[in-house]
Amino acid sequence: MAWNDVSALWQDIALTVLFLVPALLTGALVLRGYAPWPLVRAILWRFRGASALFVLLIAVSVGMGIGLLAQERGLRRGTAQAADKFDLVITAPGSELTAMLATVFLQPADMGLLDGATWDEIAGHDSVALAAPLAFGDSFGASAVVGTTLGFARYLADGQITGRPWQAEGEALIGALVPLEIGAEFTPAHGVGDAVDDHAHGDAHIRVVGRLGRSGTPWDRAILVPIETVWEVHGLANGHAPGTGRLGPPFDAAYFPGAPAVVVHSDALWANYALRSEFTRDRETMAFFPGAVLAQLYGVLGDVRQVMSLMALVTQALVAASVLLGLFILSRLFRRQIALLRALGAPARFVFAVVWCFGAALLLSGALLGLCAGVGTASVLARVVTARTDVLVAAPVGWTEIHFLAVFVSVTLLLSLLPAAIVLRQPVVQGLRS
Amino acid sequence: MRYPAIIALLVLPLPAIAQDHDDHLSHHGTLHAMHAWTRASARDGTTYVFVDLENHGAAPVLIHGARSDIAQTGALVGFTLENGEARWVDIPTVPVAPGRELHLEPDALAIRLGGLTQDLHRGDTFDMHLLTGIGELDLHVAVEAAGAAQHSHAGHMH
Repeated sequence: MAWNDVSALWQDIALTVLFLVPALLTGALVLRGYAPWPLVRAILWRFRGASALFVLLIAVSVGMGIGLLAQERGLRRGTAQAADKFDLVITAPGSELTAMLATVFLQPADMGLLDGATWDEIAGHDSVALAAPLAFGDSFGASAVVGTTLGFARYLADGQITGRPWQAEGEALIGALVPLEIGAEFTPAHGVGDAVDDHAHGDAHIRVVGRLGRSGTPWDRAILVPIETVWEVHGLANGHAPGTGRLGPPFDAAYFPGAPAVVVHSDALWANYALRSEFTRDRETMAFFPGAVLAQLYGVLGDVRQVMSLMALVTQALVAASVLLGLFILSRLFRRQIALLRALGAPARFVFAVVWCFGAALLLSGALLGLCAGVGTASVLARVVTARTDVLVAAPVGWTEIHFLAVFVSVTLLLSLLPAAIVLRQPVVQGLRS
Repeated sequence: MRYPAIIALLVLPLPAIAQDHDDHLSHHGTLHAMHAWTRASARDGTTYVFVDLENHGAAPVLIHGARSDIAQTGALVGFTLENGEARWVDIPTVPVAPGRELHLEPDALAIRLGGLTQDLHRGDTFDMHLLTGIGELDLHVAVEAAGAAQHSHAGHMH
């Protein structure tokens, strides 16, 4: 059976075992035929203060490394999940990154507008299951006010709407984290952030009629209104011929004032690729997959990820070196007891096993405690990042971190053979006099 | 005497340019292809082939996959992002609509050649046959650098 035929879970389990093999082999060889546990337990208790300090040092170091690695992966997953509902986005030509940040993460941006003819072509395409124009530029407090269609609001929230959908202009659906109640009224401000003009739309009143389910994306802080409302508030045509009183698509191309972005969803996976090719036109339209833009971004940030991993490894190496030095110093503390053991005729290998086992106990305890600290660190960091970005970040410790820990345990257990060997080289008589 | 020499100097490279031009273009029936390329890869590995397709006919042309003597498999795949990790998923078939273009390009659609039987170095070329609903379209694939994002002639009109 080829490695690629094995399931991912079994590959991870096999890798973990593989990484632990040096530690297990070392333990088996060193402890073969001996049971030094009572003596090791006694030494641990005798020097409990120093031992606890070493365990804590290892735990903090391992925990920080694991927490940061898990957090980086959690952030990547969270941002990717935020783009899940945006299969394909069509905009006027420009920067894909800027357009992706504007549509998926609701970051303010100056973007060109797609005209009515382009809208007609997109919405009327056979392969398009859902086409939703988005109109940005207004806000209320920290929330972006986005004009769109009811179909997109339902799609975004997977149909989970508390209250009721909008039925007329001037009604709004709010994201799960918007600090407004159903029935509340507000006046949108023109602009977003520092450039906001609170009085530009003074006569516009929008009433909240429903709340969308939590999506774990920045859209949880958005206020969605019929795109006709946004157009009319800005003194533009409302997408329909006068007197029709219609809300939502189909829009009349002659009365379509323009939209900076259109989100497209297709039922068939292949259709997205075909649509992207079709609507990528020089100086006319730009079609892109937000997921692909994020992947490119991750590629650029991949170097940062490698630096983080390297920093974590260097930290572990430094801690391992400190632990080895510490083990050597600790072994000086019980040098007399070791010398007494040897004077009483204890085999050298038994004494070696006792010293190694003492070091292994500290390292394993520290590593396990570090794993718990890593889970806690990742959880705390995830909450902080989620609160600051509105991107739902979950950072559970995964196999990467388990592998990282397994390598750390194996390497340090191998290295702790050194202090054990050094202790054996010390003269017994000097040890008894110490 | 001077002018014939200048003219000769200008004309002599034309066959080579024409050959280069032909290498970048191919067609089968109404389906035209331009700038097939891939990235440098190691033997036994996998590589992704990208190409611009255009259907000049009046009926859709289905793309199913590809075959090549230098690879054991040739599947049509699409790029997707799952849990923050890039993935290529199998796409059984994609139609090229009449009068439309279809771009097989990085982070979108591609032909995945698996089980390469030789190393692919920058500057190499190899033949690949695109399996379509109207027969096989022969492509001359150029090998670019391992980290390349486009064909070295991308943007050139042929």
